[in-house]
Amino acid sequence: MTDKGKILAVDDTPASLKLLTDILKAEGYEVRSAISGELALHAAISNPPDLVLLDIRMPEMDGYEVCRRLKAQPATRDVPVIFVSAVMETSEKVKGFEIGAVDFVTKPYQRDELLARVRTHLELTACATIWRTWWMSAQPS
Amino acid sequence: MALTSEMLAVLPADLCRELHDALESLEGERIAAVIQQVEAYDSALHKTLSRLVENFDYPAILKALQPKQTGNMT
Repeated sequence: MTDKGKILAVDDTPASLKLLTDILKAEGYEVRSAISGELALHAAISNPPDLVLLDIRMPEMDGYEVCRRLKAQPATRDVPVIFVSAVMETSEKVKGFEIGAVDFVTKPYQRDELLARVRTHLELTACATIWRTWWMSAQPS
Repeated sequence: MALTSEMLAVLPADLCRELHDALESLEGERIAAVIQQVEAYDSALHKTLSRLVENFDYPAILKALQPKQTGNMT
């Protein structure tokens, strides 16, 4: 059990995945790293992370498809997904938000910006969970 | 060097199963612990697996593990 959070990092380029993993680990996060969408999806569903950092352009199953499937599963529906990609057309960003992403980080990214976004979304999700718990308990049965 | 299912045949079935489960879990420490156990059986295989794991190439290892679980290929 870690208090900083469990992050699933997904990127099909080993060097990019290593960089992402090292930055997050150095910050104290518990990191699992996946080189493919299939591996990421399987691991996320059997043991949901607190946040997913997801590359968009990947062979076979791309980031959009991984995000879509995460959002379709009850176990991973509320896990925040941040896309990490060099793809930065507005239409593609909008598409990402439409399928449930909470944020984008553009490659090449600044370490501090990446960490700030990760921290913000972990906090927001924690607040949402507390709020949801309170709201459910406040409902008349 | 490419990994083949024949190379993994020196490992006991339990260790192969644990390697498979560890890789699917994506938990680095768990994977490292299994890979470490391989050294006692075959140091060349240990080196090959370590290099693949360093590059996050878990699919290559999972693929080589597959035929052994569904039966022997001749």
